[in-house]
Amino acid sequence: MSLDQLSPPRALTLRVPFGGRRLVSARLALRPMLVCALLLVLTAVVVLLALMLGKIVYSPGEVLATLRGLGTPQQELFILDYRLPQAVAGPAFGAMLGVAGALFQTITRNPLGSPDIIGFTAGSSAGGVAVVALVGSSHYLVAGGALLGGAVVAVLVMLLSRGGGVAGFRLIIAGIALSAMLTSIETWIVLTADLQLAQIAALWGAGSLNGAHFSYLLPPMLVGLGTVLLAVIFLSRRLDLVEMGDDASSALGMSPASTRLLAVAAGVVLVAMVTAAAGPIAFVALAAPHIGRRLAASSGAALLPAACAGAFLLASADLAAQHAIPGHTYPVGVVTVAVGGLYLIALLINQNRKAAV
Amino acid sequence: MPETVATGAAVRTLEEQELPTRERQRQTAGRFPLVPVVLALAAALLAACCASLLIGTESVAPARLLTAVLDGRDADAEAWSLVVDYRLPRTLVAVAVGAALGVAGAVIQAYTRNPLADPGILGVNAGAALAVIVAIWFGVASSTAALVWPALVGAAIATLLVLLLAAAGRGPATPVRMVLAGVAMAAVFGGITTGIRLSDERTFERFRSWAAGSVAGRDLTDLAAVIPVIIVGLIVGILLVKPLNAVALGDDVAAALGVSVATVRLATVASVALLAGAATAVAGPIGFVGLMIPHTVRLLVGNDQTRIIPLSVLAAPTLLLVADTLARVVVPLREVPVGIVTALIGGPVLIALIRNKAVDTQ
Repeated sequence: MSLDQLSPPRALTLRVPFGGRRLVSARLALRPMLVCALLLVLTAVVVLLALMLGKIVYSPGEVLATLRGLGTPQQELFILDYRLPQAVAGPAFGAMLGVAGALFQTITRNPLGSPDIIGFTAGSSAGGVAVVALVGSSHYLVAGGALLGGAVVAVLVMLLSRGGGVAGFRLIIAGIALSAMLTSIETWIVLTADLQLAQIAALWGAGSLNGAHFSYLLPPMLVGLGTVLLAVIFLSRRLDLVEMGDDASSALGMSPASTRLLAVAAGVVLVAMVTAAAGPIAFVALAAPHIGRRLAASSGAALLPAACAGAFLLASADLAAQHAIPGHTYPVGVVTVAVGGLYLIALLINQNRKAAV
Repeated sequence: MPETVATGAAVRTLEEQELPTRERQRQTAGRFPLVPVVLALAAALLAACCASLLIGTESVAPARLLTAVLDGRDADAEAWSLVVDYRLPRTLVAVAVGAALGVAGAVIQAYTRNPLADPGILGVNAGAALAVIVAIWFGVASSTAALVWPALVGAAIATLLVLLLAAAGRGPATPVRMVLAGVAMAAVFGGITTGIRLSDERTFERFRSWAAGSVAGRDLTDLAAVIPVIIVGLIVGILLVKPLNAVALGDDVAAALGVSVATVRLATVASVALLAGAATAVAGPIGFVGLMIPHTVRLLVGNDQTRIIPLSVLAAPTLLLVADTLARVVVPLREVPVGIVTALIGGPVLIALIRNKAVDTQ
């Protein structure tokens, strides 16, 4: 045992007394808090950059002035109307994906058990595309389709991987197989739909925040961030107990089954909200929890660090998609799938080394 | 494959080495006699070819075809043009592509000892597709003859990468980890491909159907461009049968039996790259054929590469032809790219494979 583990952890104890009972009691470890604060500051910098850059480049001072309502009409048009929705959507959706990933990775007890890999993202995406092509492209309908698709795939994957244990690799392969099938159904819908619908569906299917507008971003963002908040407050402790083992969790009065159910429901809602608003954005949900957990040096679900890491990742990815190659703007999904794929490869090599030694 | 489910790859290798000879013979012996299996597969291929020639949006009765063949093309010009001008090239392309994908799958499953391997799943087809798109982006003429070379390079690089990834770390990679590595690579390649396609949508508009995997509208010049490559790849694959049987016993045993593992690896990469690259160049990325066919053949004749690989040549085209025929009729007036049909058939097969305790996928 190292000296580090023997020394008392640097932590902050927070207690709110209420009528002789402690209503809220939380031990806040310092390092996760500092890491989250740092990630949020970095995210804010990225958001500021996203507001500054574009066809007309503004200075940070001009952007801040415009945000306080002191800008010229032209600045208000570009910064508030054109750039702000997309700049805010990046971190918000990133946080949602990060928490969704952390939830799924904790309940599957598998660092690879993120919604991208076990097929939920593909399910939400196929559900959304099917609704666009067959029913209509109203945002509420698409959100409903994405939610339904994600939930159906969640149930299917769980059923198909039964017997192998949720932690088993069956889960992953079942997810990959379902993803392949759903992706091809989606491709087929896009190929056969009317040209105009096909273009909407194809752009959406790449996962994009371009041309985002508050009118349709706000509902999924509010639902999603509300879910994030609820998950962080109510599920963090329960998930830590489940991680200690089902018996330990039951003994301490928290049914592991209901924790799992709540976590899956929250995760499906989060993935579906992001997918409905922006299309499938891959691998943020895979990488954000790992990065958050490693930076914060915390065990367990680490939902808050995952949310902060996700916000930073998606905001940066979108900034890169917008400005990395001058003259071209790409859907952010293209960036996350390429970079995230490389991350997954590195992760596998790393695991392989550890497993074999 | 040992009947018992071993927990670790290293354990599995040991078990394979120590298996008694009689047990190994029992496993490699065919479950059905060879000759009836060959005859049945050949009959199925013939039937699938006929179906592919006759069935479509406008089906042609066999009698009409016979009239056209016997009395010259003027007797029934419509039937002649449908069958000979349009469906015959497509059928031949499907046969070539199917054989290529089936053998590529059999070779890579045997070499990696991974029952879940497939050029589509492991990202080889995606690598070839990316190379094709990049080549078009840089202004290479978009004919199959010009695109087959970039496709070969892309497939070779992707195959090498997958094998390198599998070799990272000390023990052999588990099948699942290898599949994940393939999925990750396919994601990277696919992301870049999408990015390029979106940056110049007009150029790539007509590749939308190709990108989903399709043999529709291919003609004999397309076939002529890839057939030599596919034949070389098939020959390399068939030459590999005995070395691959030795490699199945473990690298050390193979070396002791006088098989150069390095040469086998090189030949495997060459064969898979030639076959998957050529298939992707002409038909786009088509997955799961290479997964399903070796398992089907193994069920019929047992686990012996000297039988599995040659018989895959016979069995795989049947699957692709059936999938392509289905693709024409399953939705009236809307043709589905064949790659979508194979994925819809292959996904459940993949799930069935991991649920089957006899297949050691852990």
